[in-house]
Amino acid sequence: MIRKQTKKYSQKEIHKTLHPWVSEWFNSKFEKFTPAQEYAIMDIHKQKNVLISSPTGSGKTLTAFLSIISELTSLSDENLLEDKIYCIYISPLKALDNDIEKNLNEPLDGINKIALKENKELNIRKAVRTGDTSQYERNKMLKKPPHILITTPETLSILLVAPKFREKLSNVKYVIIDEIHSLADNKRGVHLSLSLERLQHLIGNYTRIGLSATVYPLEKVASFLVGYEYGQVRDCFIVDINYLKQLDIKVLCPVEDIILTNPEETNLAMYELLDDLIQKHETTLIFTNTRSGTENIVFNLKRKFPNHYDSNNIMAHHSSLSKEIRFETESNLKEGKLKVVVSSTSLELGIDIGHIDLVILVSSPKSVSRALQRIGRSGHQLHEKSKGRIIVVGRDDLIECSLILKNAIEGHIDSLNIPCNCLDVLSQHIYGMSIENKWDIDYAFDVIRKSYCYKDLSSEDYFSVLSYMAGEYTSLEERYVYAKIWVDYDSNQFGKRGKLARMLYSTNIGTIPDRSAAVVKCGGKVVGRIEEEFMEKLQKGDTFVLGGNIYRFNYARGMSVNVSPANGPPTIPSWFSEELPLSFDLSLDIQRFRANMDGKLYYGRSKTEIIEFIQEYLYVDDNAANSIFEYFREQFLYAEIPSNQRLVVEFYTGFGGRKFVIFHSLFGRRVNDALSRAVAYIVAKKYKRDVMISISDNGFYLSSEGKINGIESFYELSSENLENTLINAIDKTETLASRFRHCAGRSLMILRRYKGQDKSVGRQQVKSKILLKFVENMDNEFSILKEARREVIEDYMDIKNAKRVLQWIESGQMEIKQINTKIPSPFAFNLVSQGYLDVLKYEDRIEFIKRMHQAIINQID
Amino acid sequence: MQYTKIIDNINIIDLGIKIDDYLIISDLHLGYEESLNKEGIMIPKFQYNKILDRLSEIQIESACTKIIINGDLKHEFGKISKQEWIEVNKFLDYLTNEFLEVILIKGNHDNFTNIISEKKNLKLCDSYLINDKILCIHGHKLIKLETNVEYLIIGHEHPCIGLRSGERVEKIKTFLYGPYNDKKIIVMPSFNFISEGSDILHEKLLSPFLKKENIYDFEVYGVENFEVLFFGKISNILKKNKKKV
Repeated sequence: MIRKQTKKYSQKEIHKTLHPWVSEWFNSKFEKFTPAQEYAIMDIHKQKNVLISSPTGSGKTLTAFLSIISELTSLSDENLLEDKIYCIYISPLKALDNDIEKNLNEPLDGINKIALKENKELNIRKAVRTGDTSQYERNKMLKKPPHILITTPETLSILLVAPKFREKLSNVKYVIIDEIHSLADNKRGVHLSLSLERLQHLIGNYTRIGLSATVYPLEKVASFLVGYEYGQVRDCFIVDINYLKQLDIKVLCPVEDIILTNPEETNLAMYELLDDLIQKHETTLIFTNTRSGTENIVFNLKRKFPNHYDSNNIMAHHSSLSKEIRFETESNLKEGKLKVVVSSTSLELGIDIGHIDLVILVSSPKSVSRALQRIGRSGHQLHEKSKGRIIVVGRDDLIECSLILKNAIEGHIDSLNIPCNCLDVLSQHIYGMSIENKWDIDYAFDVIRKSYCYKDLSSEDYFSVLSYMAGEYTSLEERYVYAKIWVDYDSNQFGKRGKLARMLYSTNIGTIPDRSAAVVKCGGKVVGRIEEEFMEKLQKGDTFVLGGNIYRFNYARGMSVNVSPANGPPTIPSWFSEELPLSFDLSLDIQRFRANMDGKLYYGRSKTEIIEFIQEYLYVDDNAANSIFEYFREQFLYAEIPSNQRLVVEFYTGFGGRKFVIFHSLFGRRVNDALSRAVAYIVAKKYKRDVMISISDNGFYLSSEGKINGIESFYELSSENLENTLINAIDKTETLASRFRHCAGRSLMILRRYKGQDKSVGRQQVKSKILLKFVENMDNEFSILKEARREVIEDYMDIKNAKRVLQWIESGQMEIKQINTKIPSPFAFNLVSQGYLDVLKYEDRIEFIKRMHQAIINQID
Repeated sequence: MQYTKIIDNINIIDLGIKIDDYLIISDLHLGYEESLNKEGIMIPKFQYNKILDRLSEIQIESACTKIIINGDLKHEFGKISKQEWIEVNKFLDYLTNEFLEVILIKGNHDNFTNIISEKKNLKLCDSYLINDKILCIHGHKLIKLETNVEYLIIGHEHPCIGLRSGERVEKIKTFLYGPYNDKKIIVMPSFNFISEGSDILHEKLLSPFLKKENIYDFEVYGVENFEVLFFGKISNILKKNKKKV
């Protein structure tokens, strides 16, 4: 059972359970135990599973380690400490691993010094083991294993098949998983959850300790941490210390009225505001949502305020930068050399970055938990307030940020989604398991289903993965090439195939796909990078934007793109967006606010009254409240306010009579992606036309050359037929193709490292298309293809919540209201101006080719 | 299935060319799957049967008794892989059974093809002259041309074109026909089903016989599922593709 720990132990009780030397060290360093420690230390001492959720910098790691160190001290004191691993610490980042290793020095050295006074040398060892660990270090660890092993999820799964080292794991009593929230919502976490079950199978019960930032629901994360036994979730206590760290958050509007001010002025004012805030603080950390946004801010701050900022005191930190540059930024930050650092997502996680007294978020971070995580990077000392300022850059942004502020203050956090039944990750683990030993098919199924992520795995899916891994999709005589395992259905067993199995497994596991970017060269000079999917779409003569400049595409060779400078509007929109999606929960809160505002305007409440309401409801200042009021009033007067009770569908005719059907579906882009593609598919079939789609967090539009009735088609969509429609709609899309490549990589159908060579991603991309075509022709239900589709509709899009929306419409909880406009309504403005994202194709290949053929021939005549 | 006349007695029949009693196909790249396997892409062998099926349909339709393979029968440059041993052997047996005359032209991938072909008493030649005026050659390197040659037929390029409407792009295999100095050149599409080929509108040209400057005047014949579609000149397609839909 998962339970909230409500029992808080007294300082005295806790000290009593600790070894006296540990107790003495603690008292020499700290005044008293933190709340998290008061709740959690005793449970860990009693070897109970615990999930600790508290803000970064609240001493979480020490909470987790303290009783473990105490127990190791006791063992050492009694000369019972063996050369075995007692505790495994797992974090998502190698950098965090290195930090923890260093940070453990303080308690371990401190306690050792106390022990030395009694002529005792403790010799508690710790070591980091990751993909970067040298062969020498690894040999050393084998001879003298660390008592505390610090590692990553991927390395853990390799250790499980390491013939000698796995023996050293047999004594593990504790496993700590740090930043568990950042693993649980993606395939790395799914992968880890199976490694934990494999470890449990190998060595029996151990205590699981999860450390998490503020997330919701904690029960789900706890279930993910501990897994299931006989279909029941294992016991776990939740220690939730979230609102003790005081927050000082404000939403700032750079200009008085963001609705009326033009974007250039707003932009100018934003930099002045940024500079002002930075100058008033010691060290500022700025978060943007994209890598390009990060670069822009660094560039503009330096340009606009050359006296304040130069390369010595301002740096960027994002995932496209080299490891060395990022490391340099981190250490400069730690040493207090920098005035300001601008980051995208890369500094969100808990690596030690020294003292930050202000965090600025430029534009909406799209979810409450992300806002808290980012702002929590400031005031990195216990009892110190975290200070965060969210600067809004536009009207929709203003509403979003205000609702984030409201939810952060009131403690409503968006819920996290844990991917389940991922067949590609399962393939990898079945391979790993087969390398460990022979397995009974049913028994292995039971072990797998102990993971939260596979508790509902169907036996069909399980057997389809076994069949794939056994190479049953190829002819019998070819299996020696393709089969990774053998399956004997008579004896009900499976096991590994081939001598290289362990090597192949160890060099190809993991769930993070290799992404590649093509280098863009202009006149022999590298001007930037574009994603490979984007490159694929480019044809001679196309123009596109890169780093603020417009280029004309000439040709591509391998992963290098040749361009020349160009003018005029780009012909190709950058639809491979790296933008973060708005969380569904937050979107619903915005819709509720819209409903409130609609009611007030409908009943003719006075401006003063409504502005007071806004200020009270959203905790925003005068400027913001005024801007919000104007924005809603315009929409109310001109059109209709969409809300959680009313889905407004706007028919708008654009330039050249082009028809747009705009759905004001503020559900976040993941839901809108699913809804829009499904509707577009129905429209395309019905009217036999290509349909253009554009999607944002606030809605989507469909557009076509001729007249289309989007509402009618939308009514044809139901919570029942959504999934099938969507699967048809994503067929043959680039999204599916690129997800398939990742899934084929994870399930070892594409081996990145094979026969001593690293395969370049660019080559993989082209060749994986051949593989996809082959797989589609062979078996439309092939497990890896199925997984790629699941990943697209469940993880990349959000079909679950899209279904919920359709159910609301079916039950009448949400009405559909049609409006017609000559110019797009204020709420539709941002969406219409962003250009289209994709075109849904209605024709078969041959129909398409013939139509194009005809068009070209007609032109000649 | 239709014949589409390019010029004189030179006809397109699906992915092949028929000249009187000669059937010409090019760039089969047998063994490609195994080479993909070595790169870590674990794709099973699927091409061979497809190639055989397609060829047999064309053969029945064309009723040709002589066949010319215009280079790159197999894929590996530097060796003969296991798949190649098996498939090239089988394929040559098939050809010698089905045709009265089998002519193999050496492509840049054919460094070791002769080891298999010689067992079947088939020689690899660098080029083959039909009717004293049509020269078949793989096309990866330039050679000196006799004055009697009027037409060149090359492979190597694997030409295809990307048809584009909005964001949709579909690639289709094509024949190209255009001038080469004082002669005419025909470029054949590849006779394999791994990919459509390389987009001549988009990518750099491979064969030294083709020059970027004059490719725009080349005529394009697309082939899709046994059907041949005449697209006019490359410049037309580029114009159309540029127009917004």
